[in-house]
Amino acid sequence: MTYQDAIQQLDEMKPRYTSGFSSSDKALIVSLYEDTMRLRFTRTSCNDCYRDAYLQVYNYLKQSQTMTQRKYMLKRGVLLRPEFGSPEYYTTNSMTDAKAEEVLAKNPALITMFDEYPTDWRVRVGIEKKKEEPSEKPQETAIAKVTRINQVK
Amino acid sequence: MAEISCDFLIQSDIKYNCTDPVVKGLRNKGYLYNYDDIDWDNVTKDTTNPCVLTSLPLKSGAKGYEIQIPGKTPFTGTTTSMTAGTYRNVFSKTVAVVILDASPEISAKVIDPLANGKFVVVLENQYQGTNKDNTFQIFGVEQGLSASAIESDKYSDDTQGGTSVTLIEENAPTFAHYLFSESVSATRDMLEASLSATA
Repeated sequence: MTYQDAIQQLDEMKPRYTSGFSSSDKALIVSLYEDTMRLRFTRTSCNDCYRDAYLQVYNYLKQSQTMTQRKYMLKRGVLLRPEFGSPEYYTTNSMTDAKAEEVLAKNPALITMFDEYPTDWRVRVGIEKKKEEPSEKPQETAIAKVTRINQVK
Repeated sequence: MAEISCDFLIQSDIKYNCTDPVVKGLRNKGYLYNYDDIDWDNVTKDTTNPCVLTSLPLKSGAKGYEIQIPGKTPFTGTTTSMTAGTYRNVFSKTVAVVILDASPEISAKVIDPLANGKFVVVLENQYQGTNKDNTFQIFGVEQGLSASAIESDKYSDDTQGGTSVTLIEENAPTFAHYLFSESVSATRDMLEASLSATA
């Protein structure tokens, strides 16, 4: 499913937010909640759980603008404010990868506030250069080099 | 960092708050954490008042648990009282929880761990205070809460066959701790996010 498809389907569900989601609506909400946001959905009989998850998924997708499974998970019980005085704040549920990298680029020490992050986060946020990968072209051995020179002669 | 006076000198007037009169009671929802699930090394406190925690980070993979108690007087029996000590006086904090459900799962996953574990509970005061920072009160920060009584009376009119659990923190030097960061809604978001688990 593409990002546009997901947003379109979530928009189509809006009228059913108060009247009650269909079973296919619920399945889509759970799928997006678990696959994209990487949060475990607790199945209970209450309809509020689906409404809460719907709002979380919708807001998350609107902010992240992508369907990629998120890589940065903020620790639970932490409220992260990007800068002093900023009206924005983020929790485990609302932190997107793009925002995480933006925050970490400005203040890398905040990595201690994250539960999960990619191993190459320093490269991703631009505070470290990507290591040069070894050339895929195999090195010519000394014997092969002598053989090639002799063949030319 | 705020200076904590060891002279025990009072530093503020005692007045009736006419602007926001104090009201009794607690809201219906609370948050329960295993004491060892909290990343105590990274807990942050307010720079001006050490009784206010500004974050309650959990260790990797850990999550909080919701406590929902219906009715007009949820968590009835939740108290804080002073205990006289030899060198200094301390506080005993009691959190009363009623489990209005019963099943083998509740027994194994909730009641048995509650009987032997150590916990932290965040409750929402009915009275938010003038600065709103009285809203979320934390019990068990210093010594942890542990069960002092668990009772299941099949004919109880109060619990309707459920189980009542009394958690107590003894010998706590501080009267109360609060959780507040930025605003009530931001703090509530932080608490709600602590309930989610990674898929």
